[in-house]
Amino acid sequence: MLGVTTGILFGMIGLSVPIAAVLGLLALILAQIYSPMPLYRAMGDLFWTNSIDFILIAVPLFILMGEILLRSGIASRMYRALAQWLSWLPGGLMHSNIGASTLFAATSGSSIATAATIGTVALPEARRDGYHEPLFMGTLAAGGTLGILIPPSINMIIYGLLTNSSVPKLYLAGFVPGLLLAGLFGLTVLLACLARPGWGGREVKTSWKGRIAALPDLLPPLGIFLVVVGSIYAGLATPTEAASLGVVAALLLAAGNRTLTLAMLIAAIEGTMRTTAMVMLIVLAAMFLNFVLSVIGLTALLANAIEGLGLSPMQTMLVIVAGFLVLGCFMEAMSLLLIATPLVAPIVAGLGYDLVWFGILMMLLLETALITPPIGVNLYVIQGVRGTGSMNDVIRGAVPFVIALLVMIGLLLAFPQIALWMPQKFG
Amino acid sequence: MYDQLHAFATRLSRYAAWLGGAMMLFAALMVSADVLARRLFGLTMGGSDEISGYLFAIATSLAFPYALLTRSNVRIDAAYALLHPHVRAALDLLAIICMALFSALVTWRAVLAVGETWNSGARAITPLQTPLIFPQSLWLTGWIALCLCALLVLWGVAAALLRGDLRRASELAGAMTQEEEIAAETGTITIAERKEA
Amino acid sequence: EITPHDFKVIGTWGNLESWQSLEKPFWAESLPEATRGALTAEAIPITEAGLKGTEVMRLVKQGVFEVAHGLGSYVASENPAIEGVDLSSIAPDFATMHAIADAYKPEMDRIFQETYGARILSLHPWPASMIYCRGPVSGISDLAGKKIRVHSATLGDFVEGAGGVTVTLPFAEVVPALEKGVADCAITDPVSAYKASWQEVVDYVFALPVGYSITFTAINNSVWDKLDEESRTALSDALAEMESKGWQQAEANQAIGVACLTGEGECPWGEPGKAALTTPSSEDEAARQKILSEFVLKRWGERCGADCADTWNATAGKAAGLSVPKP
Ligand code: NA
Ligand code: NA
Repeated sequence: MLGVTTGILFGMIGLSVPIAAVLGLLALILAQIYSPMPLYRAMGDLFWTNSIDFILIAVPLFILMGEILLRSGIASRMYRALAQWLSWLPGGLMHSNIGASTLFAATSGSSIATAATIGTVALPEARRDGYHEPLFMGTLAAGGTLGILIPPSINMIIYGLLTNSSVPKLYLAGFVPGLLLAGLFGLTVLLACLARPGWGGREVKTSWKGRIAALPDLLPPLGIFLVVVGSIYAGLATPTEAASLGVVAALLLAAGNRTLTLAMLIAAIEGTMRTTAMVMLIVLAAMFLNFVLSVIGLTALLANAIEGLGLSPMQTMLVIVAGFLVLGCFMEAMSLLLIATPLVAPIVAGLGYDLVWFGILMMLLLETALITPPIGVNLYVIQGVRGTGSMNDVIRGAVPFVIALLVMIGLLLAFPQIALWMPQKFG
Repeated sequence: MYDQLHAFATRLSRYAAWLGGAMMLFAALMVSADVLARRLFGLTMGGSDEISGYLFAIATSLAFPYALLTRSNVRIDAAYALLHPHVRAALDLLAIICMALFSALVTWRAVLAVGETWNSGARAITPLQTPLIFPQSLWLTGWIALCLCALLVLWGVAAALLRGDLRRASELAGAMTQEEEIAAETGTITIAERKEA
Repeated sequence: EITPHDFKVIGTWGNLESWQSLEKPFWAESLPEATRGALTAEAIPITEAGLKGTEVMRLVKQGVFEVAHGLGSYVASENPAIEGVDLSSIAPDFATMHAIADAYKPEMDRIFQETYGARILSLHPWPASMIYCRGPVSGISDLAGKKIRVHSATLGDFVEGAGGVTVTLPFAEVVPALEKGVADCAITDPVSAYKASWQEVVDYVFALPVGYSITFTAINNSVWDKLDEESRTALSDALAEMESKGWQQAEANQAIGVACLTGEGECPWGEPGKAALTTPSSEDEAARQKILSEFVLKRWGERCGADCADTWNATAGKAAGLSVPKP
């Protein structure tokens, strides 16, 4: 059963059938082969009940918020302000790239949006100031992945929905690992530029006067962060409600910035709905597949098979992590999350691991998947924004950050408290 | 004739996506108002979460055709990109057949489910007691439109392939190249940023 | 000799008591043992199947599952008469609730036959749903103005009748919501409350029984019709046993759950909480009657219709000593 499932899955993916159709048709084929019951009849009701899920509404809202911030010019001002503050370090603007990604991640729920935004703003600077292009692009691709680890996070919301864990707890758990990982990325740049001083580009002229003058440009993203994440912990709102408040706050900021026009709003809405439709079609198909896998007993079969290996919990966890790293090379992060979580989460919980902790581990594995070739969406995003040169440059530049991610995954496995301290203390 | 029909469907699907987006924007405003009213005055409209759930379902399904016609559905193109154009054309045909099949199957079951709602006069079990036929039939409209659009694209691709017009087939159903994908994600942004700078 | 059959069953929530100690052992042990392995089942809870619980009877009707366990209040979409078995606050104790469920069972069966083409095989309760709050609650009057998390229409009617504001939240978000004041109070049974660690965020348990989460076992008619006489008897007898165990267990677990939340009494499940316990007073009894006639029964009568109300008055109402007011 497991062989047939993976065979059909990867066969259809390899033939580049759209992922939503792969998941939906796989579910129907498995139902026909392995269930005596007419499971296909459940599709109508299941697609409806999942379509109206209040928790999922956060997905389009975060996308919309990001689109508004981006198209209103707030993001580029933030980048220039951070450049004033961070570019004195060896590695110059590359630290601003990571800093700006971190700050934007605190307002955006998506890694792709983070990479696309900061990439668009930052890339013109790489050539002008003579940076080592591969490493410069590596900072953008890797920095962008922070979007799903630092709250808010669309992927955490979906993970919470699939595993029935608390989204506010997941958000709290993401803070420390998120900042730590940003620090590790910065350290990676620092070490690379100390080893190869030529990589760091020409020095950017900054002054205290410029730094102080730039400070107000950092306020809008901080404001959005306070509204979206602060409102949850101040007891104002649930995570979905917080996303709604974020959209309203972004609209107000754009209005304050005098960039709120009908044309801008329509462009933002068009982008939002295109992405939402794309994501939701996959989400709905994945939920139906999850239903079929449970009913035909594949979920239980897999759990028993892993138990049957007779490994210790930590060994099992290492097998799971290795499996995700390999799958992550070939699969897009959201599809990976949706397909793998329902299969793996029951096993992980059965081993006695905390599902909030595992959620953070999962985000790190998805981040790695975003920057490992051949399918690394953030690599594509950065290459796309760059528009010229070879894709191999971006892949090469991302390698040091893949290593930083592996170090972070090791730290989280060795010290679960990195993630669990905040939710235990404040959750 | 086909090209005009395809262009018309694309334009219509874009307006449907706008309508969906407007519904999401409305949902965001309604939920925010509910949150503020609850905090400031201890009032609640009650059910803004439920209504925004319906708006979300309808908005999403209304945008499905637009995503299809702009070729935005995610395809893994690791092998695809390396293949001969003839093989790619065959894969494009397979992709649109699978999409058409998948959306047709869902729509068929959704029609029956909504029919059941109509027959039983089902209402939500929430305090609002919403008659479910209203949101469900609007949601179903999006799925039916998706089906029709998938068939439209399938027709176009099949006709183009019969003519031996690989370029047109790829325009209609090919996987987005990286450049196209990024342009769709950031195109307008780049323009806005340039204006700003 | 019983013809072997492997039932395809969808149960309630995998993390909750009803599945763990009644439904799961019934299909995995009791039924196979009672029939020497002839009747078996593949049973999974909705949490594993990724379902919400509102769609289970539609799935039974379509033949996706043969048997479903589910909450009456969750599947009442197609027919509000189903809510009648579990209207908020109609029973002050288990004895009354049991009498109501028995009196209404033939009507439930009739409704399920008509609506879902399915037969009701048993009805069992959960421990009574109560109200847990962060701030002090000494009676129903203290609920006025409070934001209270509910999960069904009839509980919403009760909360509004008490002057409170209803909030709907996913179960997993209740603890953070209570802690941060998104909600002031929440309603569930004391066992679920304890197992979800609500005692860490609530200070007061108001032991007013506002509902009993009456859980049905229903089987698709065509499956039932194909069973031989012996199988039907074996299934009915075994379920009758599960049902009576369910009634006893709910009452016993309710006491333990309250003890675990408040620390008043033995808690065999772990560290007890320290919430203060409030029991309903005679004033609350008067308030309950008023809320019933002006909100819970009245509103349900409006959505259910006159025939439905008459039937309820003649069966469940008689057992409860209540009647749905004429519109
Ligand atoms: Na984020
Ligand atoms: Na990858």
